[in-house]
Amino acid sequence: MNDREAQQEIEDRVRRALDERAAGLDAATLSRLRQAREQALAGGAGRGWWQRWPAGGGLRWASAVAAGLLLVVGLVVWQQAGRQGLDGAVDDLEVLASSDDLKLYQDLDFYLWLEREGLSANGAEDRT
Amino acid sequence: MEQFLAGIEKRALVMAELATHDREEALDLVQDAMLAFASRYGRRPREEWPPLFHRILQNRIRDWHRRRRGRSRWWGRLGWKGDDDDDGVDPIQQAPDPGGRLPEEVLMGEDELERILAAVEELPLRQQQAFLLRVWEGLDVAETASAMGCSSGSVKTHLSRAMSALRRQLQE
Repeated sequence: MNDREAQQEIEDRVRRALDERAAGLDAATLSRLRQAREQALAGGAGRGWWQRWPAGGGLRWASAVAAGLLLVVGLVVWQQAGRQGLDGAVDDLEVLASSDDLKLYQDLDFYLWLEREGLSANGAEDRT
Repeated sequence: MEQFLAGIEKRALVMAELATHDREEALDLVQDAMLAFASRYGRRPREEWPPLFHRILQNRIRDWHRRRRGRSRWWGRLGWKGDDDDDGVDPIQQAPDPGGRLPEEVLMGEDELERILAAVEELPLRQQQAFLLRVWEGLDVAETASAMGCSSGSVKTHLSRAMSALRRQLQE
């Protein structure tokens, strides 16, 4: 067998093997191929933008995006909770450390009302 | 168009599967290629369709390999092998179509079939593409070059190397 014949023989064997593989595809795969073809012919009408994942496993991409979103949301919530907790603690510490009378803070609503009414505690006392 | 896609889809899937070693990935690639082909090239003359379709499919396969390499590099740096070894094959999904051919209609023994396909699968991607497009799809050198996005000279080189590798493997 010369080189050309040997090459031809290899080509024929490989071609037959490939034909066998294509002809022996299982029913589930053939059905998915048919669906893909129908979608392509319908111009992708049945396939929304959210389904147009880059090739590489729609389910895997969906899982990756979901995990990413979860991570971002988790980070934001964690940071906000941390900041609020810290801010509250600092406020409490300032009140406790202040030299002002604690009673002032307890009556703060009353003093704010007086301020809104344009009265000072002293003025009010003066009129009585 | 439907007739064309129905005629080419099985071979396209086998090509994509040989390149990716993964049925699911291959189905996604073929679906993407069919969608892009139908939306862009439906009005082109019929005789231009095979190389145009294969250009889209081969580009998608090449992009898939690039992404895969990039991902492997990152996971490798992190010391994780990734899911390359995950071959949880569902035997029911992989079973041949019972409504298809009878065993006596199968021309080639299963071992021989697997051996030949494994040899094609092991070819470097560009050699595999050149071989499949030229020998199986029957595209000429210029059409193969167009589908692969390279020169005719490169196609000949890839094809010659692929043939040598297959002869070494299959004549042993």
